[in-house]
Amino acid sequence: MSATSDRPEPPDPALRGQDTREPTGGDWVIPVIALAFTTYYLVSIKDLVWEAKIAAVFVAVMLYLLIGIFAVKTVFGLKRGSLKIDFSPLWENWPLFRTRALLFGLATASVAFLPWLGFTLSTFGFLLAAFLWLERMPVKTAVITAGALALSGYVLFIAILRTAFPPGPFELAVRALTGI
Amino acid sequence: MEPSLGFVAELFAHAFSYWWLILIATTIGIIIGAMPGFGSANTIIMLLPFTLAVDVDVAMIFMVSLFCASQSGGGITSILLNIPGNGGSAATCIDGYPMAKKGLGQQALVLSFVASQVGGMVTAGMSIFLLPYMAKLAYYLHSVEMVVIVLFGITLIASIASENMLKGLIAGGLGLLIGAIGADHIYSTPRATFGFLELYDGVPLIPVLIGVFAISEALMMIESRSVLSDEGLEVAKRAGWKETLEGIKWAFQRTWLMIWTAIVGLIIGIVPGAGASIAAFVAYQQARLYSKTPEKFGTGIPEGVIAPESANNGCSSGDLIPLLVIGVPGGTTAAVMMIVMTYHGVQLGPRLFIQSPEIGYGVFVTMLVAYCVMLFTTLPLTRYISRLILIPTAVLAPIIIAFTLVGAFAPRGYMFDLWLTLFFGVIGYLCRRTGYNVVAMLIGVILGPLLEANVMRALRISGGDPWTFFSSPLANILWVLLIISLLIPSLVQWNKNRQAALNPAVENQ
Amino acid sequence: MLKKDMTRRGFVATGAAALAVLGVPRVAGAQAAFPSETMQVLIPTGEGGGVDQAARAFARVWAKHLGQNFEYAYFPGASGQVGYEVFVGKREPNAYNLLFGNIGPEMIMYATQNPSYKYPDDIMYFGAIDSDDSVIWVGGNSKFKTINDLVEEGKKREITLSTSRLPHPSTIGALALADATGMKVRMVPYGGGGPARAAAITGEVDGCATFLSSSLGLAEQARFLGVFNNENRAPELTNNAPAINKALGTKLPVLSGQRAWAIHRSVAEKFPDRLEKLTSTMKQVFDDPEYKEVAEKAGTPWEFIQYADAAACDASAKEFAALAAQYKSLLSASK
Repeated sequence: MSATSDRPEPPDPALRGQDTREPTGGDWVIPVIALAFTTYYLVSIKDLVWEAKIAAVFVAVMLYLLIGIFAVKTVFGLKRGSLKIDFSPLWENWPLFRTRALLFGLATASVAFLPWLGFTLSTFGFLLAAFLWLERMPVKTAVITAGALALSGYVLFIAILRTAFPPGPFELAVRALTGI
Repeated sequence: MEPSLGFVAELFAHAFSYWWLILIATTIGIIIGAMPGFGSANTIIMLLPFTLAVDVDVAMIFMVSLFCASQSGGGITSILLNIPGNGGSAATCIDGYPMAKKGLGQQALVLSFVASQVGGMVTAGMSIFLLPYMAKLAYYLHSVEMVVIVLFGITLIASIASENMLKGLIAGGLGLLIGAIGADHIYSTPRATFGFLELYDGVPLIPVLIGVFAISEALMMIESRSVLSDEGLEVAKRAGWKETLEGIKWAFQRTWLMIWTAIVGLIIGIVPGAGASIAAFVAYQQARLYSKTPEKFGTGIPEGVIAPESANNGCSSGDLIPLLVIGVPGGTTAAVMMIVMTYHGVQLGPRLFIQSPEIGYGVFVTMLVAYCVMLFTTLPLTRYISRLILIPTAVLAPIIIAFTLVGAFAPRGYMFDLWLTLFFGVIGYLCRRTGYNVVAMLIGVILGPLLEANVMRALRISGGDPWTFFSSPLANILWVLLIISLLIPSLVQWNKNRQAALNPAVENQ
Repeated sequence: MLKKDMTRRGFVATGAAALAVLGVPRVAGAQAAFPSETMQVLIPTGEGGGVDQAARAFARVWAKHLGQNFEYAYFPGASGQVGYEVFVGKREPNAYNLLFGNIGPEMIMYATQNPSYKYPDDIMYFGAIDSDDSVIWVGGNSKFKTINDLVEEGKKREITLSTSRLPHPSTIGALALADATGMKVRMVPYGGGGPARAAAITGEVDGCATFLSSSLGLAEQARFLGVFNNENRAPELTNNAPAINKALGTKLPVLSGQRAWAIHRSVAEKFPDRLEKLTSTMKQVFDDPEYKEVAEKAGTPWEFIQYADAAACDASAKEFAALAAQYKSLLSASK
């Protein structure tokens, strides 16, 4: 199926008066990461005996080849005019990208603060912020929903399943008061 | 060694008399199984004080029921949220989630449960009567044969990626290399760990699974108000008991598929060290191969849910066979069960079936009963569980992130794993936005280490002779089957093209 | 808003109360007799594993004599390196933090993986609780009846032995045996004890080199050929297999795994009294009849329960480090 773009019958976009070129650029992020990682991998194993590296070398060569083919395809596509450089698929549109960045940023913050806040408080904070900013929930509903979820999370994951999260003020307080 | 029917009937009566315990254990198991990062092994460890205190038969009934149920439950989040509860249910996402998006989540859940339970019952039943022969399989499936079996699963990368072959193969290759991070399989010398001690034993599967699936799915899903398509939402809102019955009907229209994929799972499960994830992927690959409509796989069809779910539950019986018959645990859960049995003074291995056959066969009888009990508890629930995806995405996405992060942390307890999860969340997002198949990548991550371990071991045993891969009759048969399975799709396509080329010619005349 | 404030205030108050409750005994504890709070055990292997069980069995009885309970945390990974690094780097050296590990495999890890902590500067083993011998066994149907059969065949062709991983005392044992007798062996790691045992039973390899206690349940599927010690301490459990040194007249080192309690080295200087208390109460455990019962239920034959003091542990640790260094080229992929 990938061969479709190679077929020698590219519809002339100019004739149709619209841009039918497929975007490329954004789809190079993964190959670039793959190239960097593959090269790092090969460097990291250069001093090892063959048994520790043969499998990785095999995969690395295959990846280099595949990415090489991808590069050739991209260059030809650009020359022939079936591709255009366009990074926008990465973010789609700005409002949506902002929402995603916000959600991811909040998640990152909740992980960053977890060692001090503990599971319950960081989860509560994360959910509350997300409900307020993403869903625009009324404050009261958001507090109650986030609180109920964080508390059930505490009961299930900490009290029952004994997940070894670093304890925060809430966990310490409950432990001190009830001995759980 | 084959048990008499009367003896088996007695065991059934005994297991049924503990129906309440089975009910509790299966409920816990399903919940645990559905939560990414939690599984039967760590739950049973946590409940050791209980299982060590009660009689060994009661402990076994409890542990075995919980174990089966956790395999059964893994499919729930795969289907509804595209988040596999464990490696064994990763393959269920491929067709389960598209079904849910179409508003067929309830039917997909029913399919997953029926396939799990029928698959589990069939293999448990087979195990009771064919145990001595099954155990022999472990004597034939060695590293060389496992190499070919894992390759069956790996070839799935190519068929899954058929939409954009080049990108799919790049994703699969990257996955293989990510799976090769960490200690090599011979010397345990770390490779490409970026200096992180936490990566010495390899990239932990669950954080990758949660990052690539859950985090990136949560980021993707907020683009629309609902997970479901517009028509899907209408369909799902109307859903009632009829959909449950429909799911059951769809499942039993494919009874033979349930049975043979379960047997695939059973056979793979018997090999110590191989597990549910490889079984599920191989079963999916095989089901696609022998399907009349392979191109529909991945678009949300019942076969794509049945095959992996039936296989990973078939694997549960297989996992326990080496533990009981040889005395060697095949997986983590089996290892924990061994602790309990040893504590109670039960002798595992061939003597088990002479000294305490009621425990040896009791395990499989319990499985049968547990799967039977689950049929009655899970199916009515599907109607309510499937409502989960009616929650607006702006509420659902944060909840998914918050709770799956717990799952990423739980198995190892390292803060590092949380950062790793977020990192793979970004990778998963980039892959999805730019057309790289995340399932192809995941197959690489899951199956790559298994392949490398078996290849290196086979080479080590043979003293580095590559001909060792063709040195056993069974392996050679498997190689031939593998090659046939690679050729069939092209042959079918060629045939179709030829017919298509002929038909217009006819019409034009 | 009011409600919100209330919650916040209530929360702050609860938090303060909690800190008070937790903090006060800690301050008082500094003057009170050791130990005044729960002991924290770090286990460098997985939860529910052999080491975990042995630790719990021992600590259950030890708690009686020490007067404090034990809490456990697990840091598996990199053959124990993760746990040791966390213990040395992130746990306070106050004698409340203990590590429970296995001297043999973990000193081999130390010698082959170059971790960032230093032995003996950062950590000391202050008491071992048992000693598990390395063995070689073959499948029940194997043509090898004695260790001599295996050695003789090994002079003609390379013998394959499965093992859980290469950096392991039993691997060193097999390699030392090969050196001493001129036989050829190739060690095949299976990444776990279970698969390694299965490979020997199902005939994928000629035999298995491992610790004895994990292979005891295999019954007639396994035939023990020899023990890497000067005598076989559990002959009735191991079809009377001879000590390899006796059977072959070799002088191989004793390759036992010793599970032991460890502590930060600095504790010995800063809190000698606490270390003394730990050591003396630990010794009492071995005479407690309850321990025999729980140890056997945890899967360790009573013959293997054996106390070794800090000096003996240190000698054994150094011996393993030296042996591992000697065989490093065969145990590590680094050229």
